Amino acid sequence: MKPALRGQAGSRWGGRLLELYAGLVLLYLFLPILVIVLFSFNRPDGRFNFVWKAFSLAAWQDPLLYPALVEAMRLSVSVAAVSSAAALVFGTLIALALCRYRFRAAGAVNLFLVLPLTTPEVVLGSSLLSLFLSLDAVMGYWTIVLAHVMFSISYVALTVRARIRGFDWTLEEAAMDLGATPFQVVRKVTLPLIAPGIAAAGMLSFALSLDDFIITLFNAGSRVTFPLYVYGARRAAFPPQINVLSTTILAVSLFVLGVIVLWQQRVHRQNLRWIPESR
Amino acid sequence: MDSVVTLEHVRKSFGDFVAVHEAHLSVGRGEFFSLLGPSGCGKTTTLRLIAGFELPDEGRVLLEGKDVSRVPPYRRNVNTVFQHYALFPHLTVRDNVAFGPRCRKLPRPEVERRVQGMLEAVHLVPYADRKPAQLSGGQQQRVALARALVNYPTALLLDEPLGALDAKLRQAMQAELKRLQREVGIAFVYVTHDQGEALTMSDRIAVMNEGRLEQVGSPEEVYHSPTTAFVAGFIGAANLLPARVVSLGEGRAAIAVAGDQPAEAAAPTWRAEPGQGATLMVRPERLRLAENGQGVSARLTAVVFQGAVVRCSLRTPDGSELVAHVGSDRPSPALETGRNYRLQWDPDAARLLPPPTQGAGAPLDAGVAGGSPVGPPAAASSTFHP
Ligand SMILES: Nc1ncnc2c1ncn2[C@@H]1O[C@H](COP(=O)(O)OP(=O)(O)OP(=O)(O)O)[C@@H](O)[C@H]1O
Ligand SMILES: [Mg+2]
Repeated sequence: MKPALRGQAGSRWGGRLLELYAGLVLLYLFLPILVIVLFSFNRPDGRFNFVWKAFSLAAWQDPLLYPALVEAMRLSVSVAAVSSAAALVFGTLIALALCRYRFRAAGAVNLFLVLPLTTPEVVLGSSLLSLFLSLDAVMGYWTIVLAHVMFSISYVALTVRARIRGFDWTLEEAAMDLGATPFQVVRKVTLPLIAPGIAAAGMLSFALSLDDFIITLFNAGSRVTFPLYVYGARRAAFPPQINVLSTTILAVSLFVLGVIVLWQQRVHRQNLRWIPESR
Repeated sequence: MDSVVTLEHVRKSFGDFVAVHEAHLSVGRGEFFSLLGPSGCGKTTTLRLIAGFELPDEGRVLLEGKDVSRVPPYRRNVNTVFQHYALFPHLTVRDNVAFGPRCRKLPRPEVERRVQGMLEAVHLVPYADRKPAQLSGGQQQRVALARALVNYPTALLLDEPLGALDAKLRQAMQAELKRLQREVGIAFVYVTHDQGEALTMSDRIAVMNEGRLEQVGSPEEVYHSPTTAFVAGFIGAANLLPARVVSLGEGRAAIAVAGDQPAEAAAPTWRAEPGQGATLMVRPERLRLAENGQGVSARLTAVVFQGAVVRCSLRTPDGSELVAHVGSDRPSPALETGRNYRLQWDPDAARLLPPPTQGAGAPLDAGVAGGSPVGPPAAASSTFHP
C-alpha cells in the first residue's frame, strides 16, 4: 500500500514540476515576442525604444515615418517573394523527382538537400561571398536573392517531399487512362493534391528569407534589408516603428499559417480512404 | 472476325524477369472476357499492356484492328477500373465522372448529358455532390465504373474490381457488373484470381500461369475439358493421376492407372501414342464408389460429411491420393474407412492431359490453332453498341 501511495504523491509532485518547467520554457520562448509587441505601443523618451515610458498609439498611426526603414522593409519583402517563388518551383520539382523516380543520383541529391540545413550559416555566407567575388559579381539585390534561393530550395524540397510521400500515384495513371495528357494530369490532379504542401513550403521559405541575417550580411553589398537595418539601428536610433512593422509581419504570418493548417486538414480528410469493414 | 482487343505474340519482361510470355488472344465485341490465374502470374501486366501503361518488348497490341503498341494511354480508347478505384479525392462524384469527357474537350451540354445518364445507370444521382471519402465501398466501386464507361470505351479493363469488398457485397456487385455489361454492350476484360467469379461471369476465360496463357475457352470448356494439369487443378477440384496410354480407339483411350489397373478415358485432344505417359484428370463429383465389380481399386481413408456431399478420401495401391464427392442422401454402398472400394467413372468424364513436363512447355499454345489469335465464339459476339 505505502509504496503505491508514495508513488502517487511523487507523481503528483512530478506533474507539478513538469507543468512549471513547461511554463518556464514557453515564457522563455515567447517573452521576446511579447516585448516586441508591447513596445510597439510605447512612447519612448529620446531615440531608443528600450525603456517603457507611456502607452501610445503614435507609432501605429504613422508606421512609415522613416523612409530608410520602409525601404529596408520593401527590399526584404521583394527578396523574400522572388527567392521563395524560385525556390518553390525548383524545390517542388526536386521533391517530385525524388519521390517519383528511382535514379542513381538520388542519394547524392538527398545529401545536398540536407547540407544547407546543417552547415553553419557563417560558412555558407562566406563561401558564397568568395564565389561571387571570384565571379566579379556586383553585390546587391540579385546576390541576396541567389543566396536565399540556395537555402530555401532545401527547405521547400524537404517540406514538399514530406507531403507527397503518401501520394497515390495510381491517381496519375487513372487520369491518363481517362484521356488526360501529361500536362492535364499535372494541372488537374497532381498540383491540386499537393498544393497544401507547396503552400506550407512557400510560407516557410518566405519567413526564412525575411529574417535571414548572417548569409545576407555577407552578400548584400551596400543594400540594407530589414534585419540589417534593425541591427544597425541599435546604435543610431531605434524608433517604435520597427516594433510596429515586426508585429505586423508576425500577425500576417500567424494568419497565413492558420489558413494553411485549416486547408491542409480539410484536404487530408478528403484523402482518407474508405476502409472496407470486413478488413 | 470482329475483335476489339487483340494481343499478338506479346512478350513483356522487367529486367531479366519475364512477366508475360507470348500472350496471344483476342476479345470480341461485347464479350465478357476474364483473365484468371494465381497471384503474380502476370494478369495485371497483361491488362496494363492493353491500357498502354506498359509497352510490349515483342509482339503487337491492337484495338479495333489498329496497332496501338506505341500509343500512349491517353490516346487509347480503353478505360480501366483500378483495384482500389483510384478516385480523385479532391473532386465530387459528378466531377470524377466528368473527368474523361472534359479532358477530351467535349462540348459542355454533351458532357452533362453523358454524366447524368451514367450516374443514373449506376444509381448514384443522390450522391453526385459528395466526395469519394464520403461513400461506401460499393458506391466508390460504382463511381469508378461510371467514370470509365462514360467515355464509351472500346473495352473496359477491370483489375480485380471486387477484391476490396466483403463477400456479400461482392456477390451483389457481380450481378450488377454483369447487368451493366449487358446493357452497355462494351467488352469487359476482367482480371480475377477467384475462379468462382470467373466461371459465373465470363463468356470466355483465359487461364494464366507464370506469365503464360495456359488455356482460353468458355467456362464449360475450361472446367470440363482442361488442356493442362494446371488448368484442371486451378479451376475447381481435380484428381490428377499419373497414367499410361495402352491403346487408342474411337473417342476412347484405354489406359493403365494407379498401379497398372486398366481403365478408360476420353481420347486425348493432343497427339498421344500407345505406351506414352499422361495425366488422368477426373473431377471428384464424377467418381462413383462401388463395393465390387469393375473399376480401380482404392482404400477409403477418410469420410467427411459436408452437407450436400460426403467427401471421401481414398488411396490407390500405388500410393496416389484421390477425393470423391458422393451424394449424402444415398450413401450406398455403406462407407467404412479402411475398406477397399472400386472407383468407377464415365469415360467421358475422364480427361487425358499431357504429362506435366510437356504441359509447361511451348507446344500447348493455349489452344491456338494455325497461329492466328483465338477468336471469340460466334455466339459471344453480341450486338448492341452505344
Ligand atoms: N514494374 C515492375 N518491375 C518489375 N517486376 C514487375 C513489375 N510489375 C510486375 N512485375 C512482376 O511481374 C510479375 C507479374 O506481375 P502482375 O502484377 O502482372 O501479377 P498479377 O497476376 O496481377 O498478380 P496479383 O494477382 O498478385 O495482382 C510479378 O512477379 C511481379 O513481381
Ligand atoms: Mg494484379
